[in-house]
Amino acid sequence: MQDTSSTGQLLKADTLGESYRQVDTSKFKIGHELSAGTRQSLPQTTLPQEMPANEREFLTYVTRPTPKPHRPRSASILRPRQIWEGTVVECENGSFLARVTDKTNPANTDELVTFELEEVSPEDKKLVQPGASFYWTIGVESSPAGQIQNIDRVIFRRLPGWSASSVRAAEREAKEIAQLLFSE
Amino acid sequence: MSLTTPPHFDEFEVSVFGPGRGECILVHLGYNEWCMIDSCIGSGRSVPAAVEYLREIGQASLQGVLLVLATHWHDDHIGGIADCLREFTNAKFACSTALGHEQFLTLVQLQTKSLQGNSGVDEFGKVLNVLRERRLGEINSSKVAPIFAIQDRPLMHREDPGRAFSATITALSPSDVTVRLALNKIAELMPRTNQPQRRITNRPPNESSVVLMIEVGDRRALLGADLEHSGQLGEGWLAILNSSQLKHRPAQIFKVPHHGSPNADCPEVWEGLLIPDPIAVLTPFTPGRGLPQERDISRLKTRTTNLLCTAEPKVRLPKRDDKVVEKKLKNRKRIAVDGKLGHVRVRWPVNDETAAPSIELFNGAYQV
Repeated sequence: MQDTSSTGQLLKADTLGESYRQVDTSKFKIGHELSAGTRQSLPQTTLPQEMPANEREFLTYVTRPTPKPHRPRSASILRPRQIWEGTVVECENGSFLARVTDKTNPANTDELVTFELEEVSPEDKKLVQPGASFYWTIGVESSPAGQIQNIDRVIFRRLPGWSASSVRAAEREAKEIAQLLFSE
Repeated sequence: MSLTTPPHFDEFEVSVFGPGRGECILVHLGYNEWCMIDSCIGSGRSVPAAVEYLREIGQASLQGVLLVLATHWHDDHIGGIADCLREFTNAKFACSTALGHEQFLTLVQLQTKSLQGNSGVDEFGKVLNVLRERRLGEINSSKVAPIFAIQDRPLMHREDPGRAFSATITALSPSDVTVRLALNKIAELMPRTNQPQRRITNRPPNESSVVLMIEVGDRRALLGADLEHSGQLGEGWLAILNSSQLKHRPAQIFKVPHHGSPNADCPEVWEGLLIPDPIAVLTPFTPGRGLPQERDISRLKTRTTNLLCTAEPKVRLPKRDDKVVEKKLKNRKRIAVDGKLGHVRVRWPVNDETAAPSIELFNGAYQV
């Protein structure tokens, strides 16, 4: 939860002149506890009747919350320390060997790393095939309650299947390449 | 001699680089004419090793490269080969006959629309783009059509009136049988409809690798690529031994096939195609269990006393600054893929029959 009224004030205070800065906002109830995604149902700000109309209009404007990305209350926040992109090279006996490329520091050499199939979520296990692509992340995850956990996670990419038309198009292009390039 | 000193016009040079992302052999055919077999890029570098080396010994050498050959499509052999071809504007491209088949080209086209990187198929797509640029730009249009290698096909012959000696490059493989096997393998790699998109990773065996005999005057090098010894007639090294017309012209320099692996070891090659005690050059392969293993080195040392290796097979893993990451990684079984790029250089005057070859080792290359 955030007090978005102060966020709102920052949006306009610099551009509307000194008189607005002199408004003592502590007299007014302009702050709201806002949940993300509740902009439409925002209650009206309670402003004193003696306030000039232009100031009233401004404060109504500045206390409108800035849009926030929708985040369900239950979502955890992942802060990656290191990310690799991996490709499965071979799978056997409950483990798989993958070539991983360092996405955090691309100057590092690729590595071959062994993973246990148990590290893969049940719904991803069927994706573990030679050539399959995944992301491997080491990082810290914060729960909504503020608990912090070190994580080491493998998530397979779900790429679309080859369509019959894309295969036919590739066959057509292959013929064209052969005609274009393979004769003097 | 300094690394940057170019070879004399009558010097045969075989420079072997590896193991970066790929491996590479540069051969000086005399008179500033070169050919490049496979390609590699050093770890953390962006320019292919062959381009860097030729720039160091003189910009004119880049225009002297007449042939760029990919022995096979695996990415541990052809990293940066398309960039080399773009740089070497006078070079023609050569590869196995199997890779000119429309089915392989279809695979390349599919891959270029999918996951990129870490597949030799991608690199082939880039080679086709370079050739297309040449054709459409009408630049070097005589250097567009690839040369397809098959057993006993001469790929290049240099014998000008101005030359005191000839230079010939002959493909000793793949045989007809192995081309058919390779095409079957390519067919297996073709994705089925609705199959999720995946990278095309290296798959053994390496039956369609192009083995070369390069002859410059009386100096000869047999370059073994990754050709394996299956023991089947008509395949691998036995196919070469059964048909080779080169037995009476054994090579003095040997690029050991498939990183010294026992599956590429064929004793008859040492007896039939090489002089006794030849200069043998190895490039290590770090992934998997690593090649060569100790027993491979022991075996090879029984075959020659002149065994050279471009680098140590074991490679140090990169350290991460983040202590949490480093701690997590300690529990993992990991191997670095790209090793430190070493360089073995053999130079040998062609016109002087009594001259001995000079062997130079750079960047961690060593005599075993």
